[in-house]
Amino acid sequence: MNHRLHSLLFDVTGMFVIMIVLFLISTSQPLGQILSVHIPNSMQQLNTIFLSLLIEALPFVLIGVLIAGFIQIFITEEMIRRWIPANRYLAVLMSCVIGGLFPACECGIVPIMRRLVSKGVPIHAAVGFMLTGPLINPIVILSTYMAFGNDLKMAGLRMGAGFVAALVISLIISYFYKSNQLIDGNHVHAHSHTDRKKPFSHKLGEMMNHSIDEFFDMGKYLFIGAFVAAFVQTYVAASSLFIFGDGFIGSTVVMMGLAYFLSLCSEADAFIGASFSHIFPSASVLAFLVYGPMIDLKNTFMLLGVFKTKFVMVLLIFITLVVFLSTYIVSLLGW
Amino acid sequence: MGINFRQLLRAFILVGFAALFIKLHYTGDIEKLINPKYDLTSKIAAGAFVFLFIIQLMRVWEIKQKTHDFCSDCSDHNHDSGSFIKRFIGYAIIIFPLVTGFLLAPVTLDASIAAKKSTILTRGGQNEDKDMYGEKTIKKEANGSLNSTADNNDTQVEHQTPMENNNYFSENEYDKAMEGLHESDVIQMDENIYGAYYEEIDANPKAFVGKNFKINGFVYREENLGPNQLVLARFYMVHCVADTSVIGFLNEFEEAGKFEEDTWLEIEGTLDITTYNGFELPVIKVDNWTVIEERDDPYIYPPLIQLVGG
Repeated sequence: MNHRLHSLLFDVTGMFVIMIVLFLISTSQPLGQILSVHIPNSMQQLNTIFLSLLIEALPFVLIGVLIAGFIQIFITEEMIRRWIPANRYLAVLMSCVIGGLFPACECGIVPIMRRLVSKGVPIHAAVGFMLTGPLINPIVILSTYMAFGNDLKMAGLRMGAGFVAALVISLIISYFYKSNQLIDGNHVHAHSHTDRKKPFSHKLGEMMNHSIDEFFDMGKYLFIGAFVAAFVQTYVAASSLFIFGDGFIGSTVVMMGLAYFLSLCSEADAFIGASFSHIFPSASVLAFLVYGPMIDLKNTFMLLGVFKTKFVMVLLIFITLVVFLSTYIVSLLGW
Repeated sequence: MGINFRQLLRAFILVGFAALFIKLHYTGDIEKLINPKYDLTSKIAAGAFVFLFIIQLMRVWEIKQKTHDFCSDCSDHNHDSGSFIKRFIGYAIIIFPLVTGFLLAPVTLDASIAAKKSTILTRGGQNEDKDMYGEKTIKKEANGSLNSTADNNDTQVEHQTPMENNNYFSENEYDKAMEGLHESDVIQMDENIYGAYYEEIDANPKAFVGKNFKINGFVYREENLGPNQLVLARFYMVHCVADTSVIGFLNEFEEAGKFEEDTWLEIEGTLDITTYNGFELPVIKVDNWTVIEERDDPYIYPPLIQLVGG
C-alpha cells in the first residue's frame, strides 16, 4: 500500500464526510422550523430534557470508553490475576476502596466494568467497583456537603452508609455468582493484544479503536435510558409517587423511586435530595443519595447491554434491598 | 481494498456528535441545556469527538495488510455479530439524538414541567418541624464558612449588575449582598443572587415580613390556589435541565387569575405570611406588575458553589 495514496484517501474521505454533515445540518434548519410548529410543546420539552441529559453525560461516557479502551489494550489478564486477591472478602474490600478512590461517574462506569470483567476480574469485585465509583468521590462529597447547608453529617452518612451497603451487596453477589455473567458467555478475552513487540503508538491506535467500538456499544443503551428518563420527567408527576404515604417506608420508597427514574448525575443529585429534606425524614433522603449513584434507569439499560438480564435483575433487587435496609438501620440509630 | 460502509457510518456519527456540540455552543442553545459552569466539559467532549472521528477515518478504507494485527477477529465484539435488523436498530438509536438535536432547537422549560416536579408550596412547612428548624439554624451559622469557598474565585463583578452565566461572588460582595437582604427595605431579586436570597427567605420568612420585593418569573399554578393567587416561579439548575427544581413565591393580587401560565411577569410587592394547606409560607402582596419578555437567562444557578471539573 502506497503511503501517499493512503493519506490522500484519508483526506478525501474526511472532507467528504464533513461536507455531507454540513449539508445535512444546513438543510435541517428550515426543516426544523417547519417541524417545530407541528410538534406539540410537551415533545419539545421532552427533547430538551433528553438532549441535556446526553450533553451532560457524554463527556463522562467518553472518559469511560477511553479508560475501557486503555484496559483492553494495556492491562493483561495476568496482571489482573496478580492484583485481585483470591479471597472474596479481600477482593470485595479492595474493589470498593478502589472504586471510592476512582473519580468515575455512573455513565462512564459500565464500559469500564465490562472491560474489567472480560479481562477476568471476578464479578463481585467488578460490582463493588461499580457501586462505589460514582458514589464516593471528591466532587460528590463536596456537592453533598454544600447542598445540605455546609453540614458534614449528610455527606458523611452518604459515604459511610453507601460504602457499607456496597460491601454487603458485592459479598452477596460473590455467593450467588461465580462466572462472569457477560452476554457473550464464558468467553474470556484470550487472544493477545499485549504482544510486547508492538510499538507503543500502534497500541495507542488500537486503544482508540476499542474506545470507539465501546462508544457505539454503550451509546445506544445510554440513549435509551436517557430517553426514558426524560419521558418520565415530562409526563409523570413526581407527586404521583407520593401515594405511598409519608412514614419512613413510604417516603423511602418514594425517594428511591425518584432516584431511579430521574437518573440524575451523582454530582448533581445532592441538591435535588436536599430540596426534599423539608418534607421527608433525612434517612429517606439518604436512601435517595445512596441509591441513585449505585443504580438508575439509565444505568440499568447500559448493564442490560452487557450482562445477562437475570443477573442485572438480581443485582437490581439486591441493591434495592440492601440500600433500603441500611438506611432503615440509620433511621433506627437516629443519626 | 475497499470501503467499509459500517466504519464510514460510524465516522459520520462521530463527526455528527462533534457538530452537535459545536452547534449548541455556537448558537448559545447550550445555555438552555446545562449550567454554563460546565461549558468547558462539553467543549472538551466536542474536541474528543473530532479526535475520535479522525481516528475512525483511518478505518474506513479496508486495506489488506500482511500483518493482520488489527483486532478484527475479536470475538467479544458483539456489535459485529447479530442480525441486520438488530444492528440497524442500534444505529437508529445512536442517530436519533443527532436528528432531534439538529432539527429541534432546545426550548426553555415551562409550567407544564414545573407541574411534574414536586410541589413547591408545601415546602413551607418546615417551621412546624423542629428538626428542620434546627438544621436551618446550622445552615445560617454555617454561612460564614460558605463564604470562604468564594475566596478562590473572586471575579470582579458588582453584585448589582446582572451577570450572565457567572454567579461567583467574592466573599465581600456576597456578604454585602446578604447584608442588603437583611438591612434594606427594598429587595431586588436579581438572577445572580436569587438562589441565595430564596434560601434565606425560605428558611425564615418571618424576618422579611413588610419588606418590599421586586421579582420576576413565570406564572405557574398549583392546585388549590385561589383566584387571586399565582406562583411566580423560576427553575433552579444545578448541572443540567434534567436536575432543575422549581422555586418561587406565592403572589396575591386581584388580577392574578387572568394571567395564563408561562406568562413572564415582573412584580413589586410586600412580603407577608399566609397559611396554605395548613402550612405557613411567605406570600407577596403585589402592588405593581408588568408583563415582560422571557428572560435571556431563564434559569437560576446556585451561587458560590464551585465544583471542580464536571
